Amino acid sequence: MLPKAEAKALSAARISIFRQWSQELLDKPDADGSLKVLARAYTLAPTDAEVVAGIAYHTQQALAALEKTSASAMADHYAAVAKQFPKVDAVAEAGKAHAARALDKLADDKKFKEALAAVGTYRPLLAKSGHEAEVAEMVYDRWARSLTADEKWADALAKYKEGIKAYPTGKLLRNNAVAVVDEWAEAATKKRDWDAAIAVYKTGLDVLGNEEHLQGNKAYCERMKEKK
Amino acid sequence: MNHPTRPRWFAVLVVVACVTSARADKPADRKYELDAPPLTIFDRLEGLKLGDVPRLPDDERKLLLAAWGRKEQPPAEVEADVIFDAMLFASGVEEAEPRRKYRERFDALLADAKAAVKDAKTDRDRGEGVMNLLHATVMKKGYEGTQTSLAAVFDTGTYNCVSASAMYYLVASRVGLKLQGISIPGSEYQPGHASLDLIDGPDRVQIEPTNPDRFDWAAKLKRPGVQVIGVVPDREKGHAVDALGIAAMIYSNRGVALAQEKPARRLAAARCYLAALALDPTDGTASKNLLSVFVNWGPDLMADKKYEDAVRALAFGLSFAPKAKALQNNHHVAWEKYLDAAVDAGDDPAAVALIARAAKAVPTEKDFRNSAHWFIRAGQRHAQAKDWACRWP
Repeated sequence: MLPKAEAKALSAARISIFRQWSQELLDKPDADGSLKVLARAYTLAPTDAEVVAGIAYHTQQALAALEKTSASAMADHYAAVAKQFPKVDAVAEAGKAHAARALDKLADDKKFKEALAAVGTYRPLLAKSGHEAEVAEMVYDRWARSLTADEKWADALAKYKEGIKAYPTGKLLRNNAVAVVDEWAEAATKKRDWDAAIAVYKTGLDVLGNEEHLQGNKAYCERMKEKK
Repeated sequence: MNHPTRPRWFAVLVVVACVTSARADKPADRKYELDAPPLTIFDRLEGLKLGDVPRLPDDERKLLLAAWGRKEQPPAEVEADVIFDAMLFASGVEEAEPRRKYRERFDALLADAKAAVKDAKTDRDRGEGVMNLLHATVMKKGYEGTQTSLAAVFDTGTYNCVSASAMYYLVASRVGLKLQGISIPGSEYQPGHASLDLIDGPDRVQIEPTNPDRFDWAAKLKRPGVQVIGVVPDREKGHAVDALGIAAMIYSNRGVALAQEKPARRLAAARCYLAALALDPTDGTASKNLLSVFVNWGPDLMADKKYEDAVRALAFGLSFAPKAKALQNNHHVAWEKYLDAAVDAGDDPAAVALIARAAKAVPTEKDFRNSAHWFIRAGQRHAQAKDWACRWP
C-alpha cells in the first residue's frame, strides 16, 4: 500500500501516459485507437479531471479530423464516443462546440443560408436538449444582425421571426428582435418624429406579437405625440 | 515531472608502472586510504560470493601480516630473506620448493656479483659493477614492458622497470650498497615508473636499472650531446619506497595483468592489490586499482543483468572505501537500473520490497524512499520509447 501522496502522484502519472498515448494515436490519425485508450483510462479513473479533459480533447480533435473525411464518419465517431462515455457531459459539450465553431465560421463568411442548412449536418453532434436550438439561434441572430448593419430593419425582423418560429422556446432571438425594433425606431425618436416611431413599433408588434416592451415604447411615443 | 536522466557509469582506469627516468627524494605526505586493513578486506572477499577467492598461503599471509604490523612500529630494517620472499610471493611463486630453487639461483647470482665488484673502491663503482653484471647475465634478454615478475627475470632474462629495480635492489643491497626505491605513480595518460637511488654519503646517485647505461643517469644526462627519446615521468611526482614497496609494485602490476585478462580475474587482482597494500599501505596506485576492481565490476555485472551481484560488488567496495565518489555513483546507478528492471518485470510487491532495500542501501537518495517514483519513471521510460502497450498502463 503506497502512502496517499505517492498514490496520487502515481495515478496522475498513469493518466498522463494514457493522455500521451491518446495524443499519439490522434496524431496518426487513429481516432478509434485513441478512444479505446481513453476507455481504459476512464475505467481506471472515471472521475479524474484529466481523464475527462482527455475525453473532451479527443472529441474535439477527432471530430475535426473525421469531418475532413465525411460527415457520416464524424457522426459515427461522435456516436461511439457518446456511447462509450454516457456520463461524461464534456462529450456533448465538445460536440456542440464543434458544431458551433463550424457554423460560426460560415456566419463569419456571411454564408448564413449554408450555415442554417449545416445545422442538419451537425444534428448528430447536438444530442443534448437545447443544443441544436442554441447553435441555430446563433446563426439566425448573426444573419439578422448582418441585415441591421445594412439598416434592412424589416428584413432583419423577418429573419428573427423565421428563427423564432423554427425554435420557439429560445429567448435569444425574441430579445434581440425587440432590441432591433428599438434600434430601428431610434432615428425617428431622436428627430421627435413620433408618427414614424409609432409606425416602427406597430410593425414590430405585428411581427413579434404582443411584446410588453414594444407596447410600452409605442404608448410612450403616442403620449409624446399628444403633447406635441 | 522531470524526464528521467540517463545514469552515467564512472569507469576507473588501472595504472601500471614501467619505463624511463626522473628523480624524487622528497617522500610525499601519504597515508593508508581504506577503512579496513588489507587482509581483513581480503578475508571478506569470500562473502562476496562472486567466484572463487584465490587462496593466500599461510607463509605468504604471515609475511603480509608482519609487514602490515610494521605500519604501527618505528621504521626498522627488513631482513633480506623477507624482502626476497616478498618479491617472489608478489611474483606469484607461492610454494616453498620453487622459492627455494629461486633462492639457490639468487645465491649463485649474488656470488657472481660479489666477485665482480670485489676490487671496486667506491659505492658508485660497486653500483655500476652490479649493473653491468646483471645486464650481462640474468637480465641479458632486455626490456619487456609487462614483465614485472622477479621470478620471470630468472626464467626469461627479461624485465621491466619494476622487476629490474627489484633485481638490482636485491643484489646491490647484498653487496653493501644503500638503496632507496623510487615510485612514480602513473595516471590515466601515462604509465607509472619504478627506479632506484644509491645513497652515497650525502649524495644520491640516480639508477635506472632497465638500462646498463643509466647508472648515475642524472649526471649522464648533463653530458654534451645526450638526448632522451620518449616519455620521461616527472620524478617530482614520485616518492620514496622501501624494498617492500618495490615488492608491492610487483603485486600491483600483477593485479593489473589479472584484471586485464579476458575474462577479467578480478578477485585474483584484488588479492594482489590487497597484498601490495599490506606491504606498502601508502601505495596509492594499489588503492586506486583495488577500487577500480569494484567500480568497474558493477557495470559489467549490470550489463549481464546480474543486478543483485552488481549492487553487492559495489557495496563491498564501499564497505572499505565509503567516500570513493566513483563507487558511490556506480552503486547508486546500479540500484537505479536494478529497480527499473524490477518494476518492468511486473511483480509489483517484489519491486516495492526491492525499493525499500535500495532506500536502506543508499539512505541519502530520496527517490529510493518513494516507491511511486520508480513506477512513474517506468511509465515515462516506456512512453518515451512509445511503448504504449507495456503492461504498466
